[in-house]
Amino acid sequence: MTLLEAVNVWKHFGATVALANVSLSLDRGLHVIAGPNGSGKTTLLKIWSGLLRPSRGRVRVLNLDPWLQKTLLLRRVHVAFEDIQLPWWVSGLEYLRFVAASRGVSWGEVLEIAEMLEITGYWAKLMRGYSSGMRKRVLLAQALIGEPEIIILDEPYTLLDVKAVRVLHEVMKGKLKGGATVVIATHILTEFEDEATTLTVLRNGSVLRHYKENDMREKASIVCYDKETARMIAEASLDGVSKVIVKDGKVIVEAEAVVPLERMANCKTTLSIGELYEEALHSEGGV
Amino acid sequence: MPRVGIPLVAIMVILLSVAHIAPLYYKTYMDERTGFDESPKGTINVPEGLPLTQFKQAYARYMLLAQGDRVSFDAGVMAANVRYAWLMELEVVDVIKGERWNFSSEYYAARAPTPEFIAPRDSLYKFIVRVTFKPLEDTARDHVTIDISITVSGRPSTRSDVRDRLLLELLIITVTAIALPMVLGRRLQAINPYRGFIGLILWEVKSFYLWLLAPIIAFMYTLFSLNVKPATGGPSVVLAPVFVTNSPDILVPYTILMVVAVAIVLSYKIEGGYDKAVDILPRSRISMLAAKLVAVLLVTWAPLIICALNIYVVWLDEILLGSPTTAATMLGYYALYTLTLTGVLMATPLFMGSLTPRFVPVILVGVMVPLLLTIDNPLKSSLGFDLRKAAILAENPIIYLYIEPPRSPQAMEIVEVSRSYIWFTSRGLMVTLIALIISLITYLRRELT
Repeated sequence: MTLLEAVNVWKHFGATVALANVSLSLDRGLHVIAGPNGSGKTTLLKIWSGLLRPSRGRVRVLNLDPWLQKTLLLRRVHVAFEDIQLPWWVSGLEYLRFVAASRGVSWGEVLEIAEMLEITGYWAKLMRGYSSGMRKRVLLAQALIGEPEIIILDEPYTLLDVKAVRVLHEVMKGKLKGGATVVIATHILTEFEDEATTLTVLRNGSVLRHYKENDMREKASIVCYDKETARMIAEASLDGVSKVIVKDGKVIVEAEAVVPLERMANCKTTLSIGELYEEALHSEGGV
Repeated sequence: MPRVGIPLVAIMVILLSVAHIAPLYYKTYMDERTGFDESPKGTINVPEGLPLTQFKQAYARYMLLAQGDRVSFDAGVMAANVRYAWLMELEVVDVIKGERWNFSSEYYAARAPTPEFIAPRDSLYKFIVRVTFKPLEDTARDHVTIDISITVSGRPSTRSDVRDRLLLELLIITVTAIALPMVLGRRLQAINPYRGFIGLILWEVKSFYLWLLAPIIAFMYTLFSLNVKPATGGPSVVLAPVFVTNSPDILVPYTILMVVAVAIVLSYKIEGGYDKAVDILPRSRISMLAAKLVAVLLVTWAPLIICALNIYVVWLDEILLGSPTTAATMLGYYALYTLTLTGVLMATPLFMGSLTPRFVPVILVGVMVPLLLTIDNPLKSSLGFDLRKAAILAENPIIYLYIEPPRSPQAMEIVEVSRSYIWFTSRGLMVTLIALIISLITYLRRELT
């Protein structure tokens, strides 16, 4: 079932063409929209969120017209954009109360997310005293509270520290497990994005590449996560292994001595979305 | 108990200490403009002119008076080339109760002692003064020209025996507003006030107060202080008297100040991206716009409306209880006046803002246009609507009736208000409609692109 759809969508800002004939359909799952600055990622997400009206083309989200049915849509779709400035004259607590009242979310749900993102320690203070990272956590919290069907996050990792990124990943995993769809626009690709259902690469307002799950599987690499394998490789390197490359389902070891590779069975096939993105950016042609 | 910041405690202490000073203030309940002072002059050519016995002038004025207020009258008639007498008739009507008092006397001197009216109760009174010139010789035969000069004035006296409740009430309201959250504490915190449209208005109001409330309150206090007159022989009164004014001379600059402030705040919020924090929530665009407008009205006009209500409702409670229609009419004027003046003055900068990508730089230019038009040359020429008259009308709707020469003093009852009301309403609504349409275009242009 298509949850987010854009058909031949154009968006102009005066003489600037932000989106040029973009067509994209996304089902349930985790979707990553990547692209360099000015590629149209945020514009596309804002159109899906009902915050911008497309100049041309058809857009549907949860079978609703986002622009005309914005109020209905935003009850089911929670969004966070990088350019949103939280009002500094209220506290984070007050803003989240306003959000909870607007969305009809219980305070318990707010508290749960707020505690996970560790904002309860400072949320009673006016936001004028927050650092950029603290503000970002409040912004993300408003998008993650409740039980949205779709969560749209624009550049969620910027300004966050490593710990906060890890927590955010945990929360998003929980939401995905609960059946929500998560759409992330970013040019910072972490290991979490490796779990993506689709990867869409935009450039100059057009879809450069759109990788579906099967496409990405073909491009998968081997990554060894477990400690034992890592230790083995480390030991092997001590035994004269000069280089270990794990790629395209193969482990290539350059060594001067014999290495017990059979014990590396714990390695698993996975996706390196960052490489796919780089590959797409450096390739020519369309989808 | 919730945490209370030091500034809040400091404010409380200051307010409570000021509360002791407040009763020292006395006020006359009258704006001096509500008195009247007329000196018409007439020239009669006889026999071309009207018969001299028909030279009759009538003056009518409405005044809000407190019990015990004294209104003294002064009248005089001077005429050359003729021996004459003149008749003064004074009629006072308690508009709310319908009670009437009459006084009539004939004088032969140019000036004469005239009566003083002492208000028997708090009420709205109408004063009708008729002066009739009577020649004592047959002027028609002599073919003379007679210059007649009539002076009529009525002025309420300054009171120093009435406590001013206004400042005290404002203080009580302020202290209560601050103290309530402190006392109720966590109970209030448990209630989420941001539900529904009211919650959205509250959110918008909160976004204004940091910038606007402080200057507005300062401005309101300036209004008070401007009207503090030195004591004039009253009994041990240090600061006296204070009165509230709604004169257009104050209201127009106040409105312009408010419009500039609101436009800057709105622009700041829009350009700074602060509105987006609300845009991403399931609130309709119309409700967001409506909440903004209501918040603007509440924040900027609440102090003035509270003062008006204080006079019309609290102080003259008999108007509310005894004649709710009159009270509703008066308050209706305030509402209409507020909406109209705000709408007209907001329209220009909003319209100009809608045509330019950056709002802030054009605000001052945009405000200057209605500012100049309003102060020096009311918008009468372009819209058929005189803001200065509207201001006078709002100050006291009935006073407006006197701006035009009274055609028939007997007919000038409260009923005439409704006619004036329709006049005001038709133009007011027209201008409000234009302002609303321009505002909507502005909003849509910003939001739909």
